[in-house]
Amino acid sequence: MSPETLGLVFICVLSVALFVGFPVAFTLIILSIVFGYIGFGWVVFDLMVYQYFSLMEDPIWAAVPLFLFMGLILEESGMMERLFKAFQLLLAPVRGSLYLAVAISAAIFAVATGIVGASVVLLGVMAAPTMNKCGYDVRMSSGIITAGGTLGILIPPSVMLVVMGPIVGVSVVDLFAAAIVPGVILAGLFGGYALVRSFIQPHMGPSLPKDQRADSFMVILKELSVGLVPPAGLVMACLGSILFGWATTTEGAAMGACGAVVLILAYRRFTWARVYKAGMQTLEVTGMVVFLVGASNFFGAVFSRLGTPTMITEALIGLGLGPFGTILIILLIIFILGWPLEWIPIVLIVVPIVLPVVQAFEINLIWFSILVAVCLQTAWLSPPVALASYWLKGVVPEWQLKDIYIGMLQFMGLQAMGTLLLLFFPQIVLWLPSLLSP
Amino acid sequence: MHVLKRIVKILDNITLWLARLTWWLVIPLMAVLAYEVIVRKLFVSPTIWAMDISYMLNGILGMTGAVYALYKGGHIAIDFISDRWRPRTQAALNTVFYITCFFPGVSIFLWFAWQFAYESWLMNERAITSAWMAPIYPLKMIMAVAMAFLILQGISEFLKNLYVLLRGHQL
Repeated sequence: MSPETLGLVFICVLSVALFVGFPVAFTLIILSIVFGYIGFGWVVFDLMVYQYFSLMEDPIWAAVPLFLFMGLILEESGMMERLFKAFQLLLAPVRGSLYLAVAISAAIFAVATGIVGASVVLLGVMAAPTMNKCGYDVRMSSGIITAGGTLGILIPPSVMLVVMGPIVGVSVVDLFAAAIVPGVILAGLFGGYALVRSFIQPHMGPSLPKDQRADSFMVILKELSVGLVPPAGLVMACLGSILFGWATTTEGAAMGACGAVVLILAYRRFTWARVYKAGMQTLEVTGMVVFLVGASNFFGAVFSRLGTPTMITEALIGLGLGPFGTILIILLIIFILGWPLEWIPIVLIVVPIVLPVVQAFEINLIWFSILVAVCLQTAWLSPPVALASYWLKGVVPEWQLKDIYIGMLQFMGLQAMGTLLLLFFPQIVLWLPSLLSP
Repeated sequence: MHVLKRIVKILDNITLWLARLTWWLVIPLMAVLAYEVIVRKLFVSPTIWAMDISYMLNGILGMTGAVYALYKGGHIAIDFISDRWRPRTQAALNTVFYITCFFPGVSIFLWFAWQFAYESWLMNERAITSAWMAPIYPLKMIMAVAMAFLILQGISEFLKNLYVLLRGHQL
C-alpha cells in the first residue's frame, strides 16, 4: 500500500473511531502513532513529542487561558446585568426595545467573552422574564437570545480565532481585525430584523409599560455610565492594544484579564470563591484545548508526511470547480459537520485537511478563516443538535423547545444572508485588517 | 467493591490536589505580561523574561489542565450518538477504549517525553527563545510528569467504567 492510500485508510478509521464517543484527543494520538509507525517508522515518536513541545513553547497559546479567565471573571462580575439594564431603560419607549437591548448587549458582551454558553445563559436569565411579562413573542425572543449569544465566538477577542490563527497560518491580530465588521453587521441584522417585525406586527414586541421605564433621564444616564463605560475601557485595554500594535495578542489578553479583575473589584463582586471557580474552570478548558491542539498538530504532521493532503488537493482541483465553487463546497461541508460536532474538532481536524486546497487556489486565508468562523457560528443555531437551544431551555423552562427551534431557524436565515454577503463582498472582511497593517 | 471505591477516591483526590496546586498560575501569567506591557510602553525598558515565563506557565496550565479535564469529563468527545445508548453499552465501549487507545497512547507518550526531558536535563539545555536563556528542561519534565498523572487519572476513569459495566450502576 502506498503511503497516500494509507493516509486515506487513516482518515476513514479515524472518522469511525471518533463517532464512538471517546475523547477526540486520545483517539487522535493512538491512531496517529499506529498509522505513522506503519507509514514511516520510529520518527513518529519524535514527531509526537516535538509537536507537543513546540506547542508549549509558543507564547500565543498563553492567550487561551487568559481570555478564558477574563470571560469567566466578567461573567461573575455582573457586568452583563448592568449593561442590559442600561440599554433596557434607554430604549424602553421604542417598539421591540427588548430585542434591540438583547442584540446590543450581546454584541458588547461578545467582545468581553468568547464563551457562547455563558452569553446565552446570561441573556436568557436577564431578558426572558421581562420579555414574558411584557408579552413579547416567544419565538422571536428565543431566536435573538440564542443568535446574539453565539456572536461571542465570532466577535474578537474569541478563543476560536486564537486557535484558528496558528492552524491556518495567519496572524491572530489580522483575524481579530477581520472579524469585527462581520460581527457588527450580523448583530445589526439581528436587531434590525426584530425591529422591523415588531414595527409591522406591534403585538410581537410592544414598547415597555410605564413601570419598566426610568423615572427621569438622569437615571438612564447614571445606569449607562456605570454599565457601559467600564466595559468600554476594558475593550480598549484589551482589543485596542492588540489592534493598534501596542501589545501582542497574549499581552492584550493579559491586559484584558487584569481589567476584568479590576472591574469585579469595582463592582464589589470580588470574592475568593468566585476567583477560584473561574480559575479552576480556566484550568479545565485550557487543558482540554492545549492537549487537543497538540494531538491534532501531531495528527496533521503524520497525515501530511504520508502525502495524502497533496493527493486530496490534486483530486479536488481536478474536479474543475474553480476557487468559488470549491470554497462553497468546503463551507457546506463545514456547516453540515457543524450540526453534530463542536467547533474545536472542526477547526483542528477538518480545516487542516482542506487547507492545502484553499492555498492552491490562492484564496485569501483571512477571508477564508472568517467565512469558516461564521459558518461554525451558524451551526450553533441549527436544530435539533443546537447547543444554544438547550442552554436557553435550561434557564427558561417555560418556553417550548419547538418555539425555540422556530425562533432559531429565522435567525439562521439571517446568518445565511450574512455569510452570502461576506462571500460576495470580501472587502467587508478585509477592509479593517488592510487599514491596520498597510 | 469497597476497595475499588477507595482506590478511585484516592486517584481522584490526587488529580484534584494537582489542579488546586496549579490553577492560580493564571494570576502570575496575567501579572507578568501586564507588567511587561507597562514597562515596555511607559518606561521603554522591556524585560527579557516575560515572554519565556508566559509560555512556561501556560505549558504547566495546559498539561495539568489536561489531567483535570479528564477527571471533570471536559475532553471534547463526539458523543451525540453514544449519548443515546444504554449506560452499560457506553461503559463497555469506554472500557475497551481505555485498554486499546488511552493506556497504550499515553504510556508511549510518557516514555518518549521522559527520554526527551532526560536528554535535555543531562546537557543542562537552555531556552534559545530569548536572551534570558532560562533552563528549558523543567518544562520538558513537566510534559512527562503530566503524562504520569494522566495515567493515574485514566486508571480511575477506567475503574469507574468497569464498575458500571459489571454492576450496571455508578460507583
